[in-house]
Amino acid sequence: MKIVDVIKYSGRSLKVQKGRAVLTVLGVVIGITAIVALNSLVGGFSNIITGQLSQGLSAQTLTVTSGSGGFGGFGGGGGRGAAATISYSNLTGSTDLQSYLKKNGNHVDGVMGVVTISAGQFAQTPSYYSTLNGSSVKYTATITGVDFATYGNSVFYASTFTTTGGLGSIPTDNNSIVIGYSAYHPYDNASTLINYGQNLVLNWRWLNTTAGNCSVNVTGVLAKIQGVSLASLTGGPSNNGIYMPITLAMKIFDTQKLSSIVLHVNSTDQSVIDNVTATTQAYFHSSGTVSVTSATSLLTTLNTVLGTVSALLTAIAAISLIVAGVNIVNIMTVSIIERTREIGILKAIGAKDADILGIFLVEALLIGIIGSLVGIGLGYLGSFGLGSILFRAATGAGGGFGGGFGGGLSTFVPVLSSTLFLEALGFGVGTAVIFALYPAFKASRKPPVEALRYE
Amino acid sequence: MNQQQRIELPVTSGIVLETMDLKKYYMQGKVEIRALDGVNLKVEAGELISVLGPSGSGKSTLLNMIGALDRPTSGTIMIEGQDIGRMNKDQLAEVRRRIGFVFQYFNLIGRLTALQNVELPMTVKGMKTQERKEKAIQFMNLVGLGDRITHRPSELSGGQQQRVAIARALAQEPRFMLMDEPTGNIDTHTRDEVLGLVKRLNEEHHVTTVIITHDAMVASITNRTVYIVDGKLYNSHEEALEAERISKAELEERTNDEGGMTV
Repeated sequence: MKIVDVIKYSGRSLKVQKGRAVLTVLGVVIGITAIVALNSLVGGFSNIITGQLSQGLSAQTLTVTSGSGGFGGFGGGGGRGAAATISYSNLTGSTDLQSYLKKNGNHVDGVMGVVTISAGQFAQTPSYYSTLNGSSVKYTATITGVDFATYGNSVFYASTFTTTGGLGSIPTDNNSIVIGYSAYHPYDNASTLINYGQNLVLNWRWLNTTAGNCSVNVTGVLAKIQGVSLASLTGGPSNNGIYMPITLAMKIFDTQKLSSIVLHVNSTDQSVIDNVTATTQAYFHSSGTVSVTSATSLLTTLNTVLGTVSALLTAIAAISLIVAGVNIVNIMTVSIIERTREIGILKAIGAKDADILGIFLVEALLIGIIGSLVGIGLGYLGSFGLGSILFRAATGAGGGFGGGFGGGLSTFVPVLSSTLFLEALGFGVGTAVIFALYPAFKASRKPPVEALRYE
Repeated sequence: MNQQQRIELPVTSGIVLETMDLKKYYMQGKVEIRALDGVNLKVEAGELISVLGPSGSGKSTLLNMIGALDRPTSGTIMIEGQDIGRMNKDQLAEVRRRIGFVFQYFNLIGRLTALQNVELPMTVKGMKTQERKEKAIQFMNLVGLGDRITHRPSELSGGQQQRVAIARALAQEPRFMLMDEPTGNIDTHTRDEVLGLVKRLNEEHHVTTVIITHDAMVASITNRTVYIVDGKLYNSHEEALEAERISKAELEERTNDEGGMTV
């Protein structure tokens, strides 16, 4: 029997048993819809998340922190032993890190020290509130001491550490600060909190014991950074930050200790990153261990997590495909019993076992193809709906992430890659055909005499 | 009627079907049933022959054997000089492609139109769509149902359904047509119509036909009748009656013997 005729014959029998065919197809549709919806949803989400987090994040940035482990277990090349002290002297003098790196490999074209104090506070009256009752608000922010010239140069955070699109300018003297956009405009209304050109008293607490205050001048407001940036986790600028010259930070906090040193390597090759990591660890070896975290390793870790979530969701969705498969076995078996006589007739007029097998497998194939295509379409559409519902929940929840994601999520687009399309099609068709194999094989082996005798 | 002239049916000659000492034994529980017990049958090309016998005589078993639907216990079946006893399943399917079956219950496929049913054997053989459609229309004309090609079997009368089945058998381009009680399921009114068609196909188109029946009236239209009793074939009615008498007597004797034991 020609394959075209087999397809026509099978198609006709599906058409006649419409109700049953629709139910069988439905099983496949549900499974494929679930798989496609969940996957394109996760795909869309991970695009947004990595897109937002990697904003201003250079793949060439390495962060050196004291001790092992780095960012709470995020990658990094930490070792065992006592944590090394990273101090300002590692950046200056005759035995500084930069010259050491230059001597050993010469892969680094930027070195920068960062001092971060987590709780700095301004008591400040919002501009709009003052017309109402004049009460003041306490604004808490992360204070970061950096070398402005290095921090804002093209090797590091030129794209986000800028007042272009913001207000005022980056200070050039050693007693002024620049604030992130949230300190200027925290409420998303007409009210501003801290404006440039203001003199403020900054209250701070250092290492939870020493407290103090100092008077600073705000010369600029950074341009608003869209979304949540992973760069801020590695010492890059953020909307919530307050930035002062590193020398001022060291002076008012009376410390020579650096929170981290940020390195910029001239290549994203893993071998270069490994080399710089090893060289840096060797440099600090005498004083203890440091961990070197690559920015990309954070993204890689994140992508691995998202990939695992995606795989888990697929596995859950695949269960419904198995259910669909069992349904196909059922319906095929019933259909074969009902069509025993037809099998007998076909054999009597000369159909071979392979023809009968073909007819039933092609029926399953058609069920699989129709079910998969419909499922892929529904799944893709469904992920739009599901996505918007989830976003509303996320943005409505408020809090850190809610606020940060708010802007980016409106642009959610589910991802239906050609790989996902083909995989879904393959899964659907495969399930239908594999589960039909046994009943179809059984049908094809029916002896003609018995099949013809069937009432 | 011109269309009928163009019908191409295979011209066969010589012996199309021959069985030699054909035996088929079944086990029914612990009892051995000898459904066929040494059948010798020879059918020549162009013959119209009937196998007449009561139910349980081995008729259906014989049909299954010479129709290549089942395998014998022993003996030989030659179809067009080929021994089908040594053939595998696919080869047997090939043999069935040259046999035109007509069943008591028509065995048409309900979801296909009459024309599609007639096309089916040619579809199975892999014939091109256009060619098989044209041929199927010719066969439908030949059985007088040219105006019923788009009807489904359920929309046709019993006689009409059987004529579609005959058209389908002709579509096999059969070396011989094998009919199993072809009028067993249709009323006496249309019976003559179907039998007339069978007779005409044999006379005008030399379609070799074997009819297996228990109906003497059906057998009477054929040119030769063989009789089957208890799995054995007889060439005359008298021999068959004698065999039946002996068989009954044996049965009685056995019963009497058993009865005697209780005395």
